[in-house]
Amino acid sequence: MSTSTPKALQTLNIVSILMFIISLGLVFLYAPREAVMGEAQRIFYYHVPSAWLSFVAFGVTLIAGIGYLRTNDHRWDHLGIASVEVGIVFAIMALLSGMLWARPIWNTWWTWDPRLTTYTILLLIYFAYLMLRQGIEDPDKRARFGSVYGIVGFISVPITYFSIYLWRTIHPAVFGRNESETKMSMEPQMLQTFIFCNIFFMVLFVTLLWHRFRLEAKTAHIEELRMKVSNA
Amino acid sequence: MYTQTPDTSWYMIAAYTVFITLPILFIASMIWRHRNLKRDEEMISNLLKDERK
Repeated sequence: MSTSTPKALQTLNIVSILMFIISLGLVFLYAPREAVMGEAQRIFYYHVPSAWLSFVAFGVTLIAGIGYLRTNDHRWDHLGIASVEVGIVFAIMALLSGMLWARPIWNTWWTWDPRLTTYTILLLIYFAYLMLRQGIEDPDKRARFGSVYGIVGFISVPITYFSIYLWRTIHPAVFGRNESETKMSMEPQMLQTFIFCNIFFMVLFVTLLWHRFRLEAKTAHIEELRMKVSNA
Repeated sequence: MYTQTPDTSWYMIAAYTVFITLPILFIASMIWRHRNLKRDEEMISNLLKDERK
């Protein structure tokens, strides 16, 4: 099994670090201060991409689940669990930063708003995925369980996404069919910063996912060796 | 009507601390797990070598 880091991944590491530095520069030095919310508005530049990329991560787990069930190739399972872990990191970032934004803007740390509630349930569903997997020793059964869970668990993603359109909510809509639906207008510098931060988060997501995938492949390799030893 | 922009810097700093700390913790956990796996791999390969002898 090859352990050296691929050139493309090394490049992604460097690009991620550079984009992180540039994004911070844009957020704090380039984007103007919003007049109503003040500095807390800058949370939005990282909060939004971390939230939607957590959806993407769980979407990757869904695809990986289908891939495994069709092929029985364990690499799909490695991708599935890797994506859940990265997705959870992004989801916690979105949830905590949302609370820190809500305190000065809504005057509360937490409210049982449809978006917040469904997002918390989503996070708990994927926490359960990690915990339940741990209890299954047989790699084939574990992969099958993970695949089915990943497919069924994904139902929570569209429910969370559309919750702000389905129920009465105070959560702002960033993506909408028109400006009145999004209830947002941005200065050009703000929009440029927002777009850059989204691209940065996409690169960060791929980088973290690739690293986590490699770690999972290594874990499976060691597990195989362990079985060899115990059977010998 | 003129209203002063509120000082919400503390919340922004706290949020960016979260944004920076969480991925660092995740990366650190991956490095830690990778080290453990390397150690296990060495131990297992030594065991397999001993068995062959």
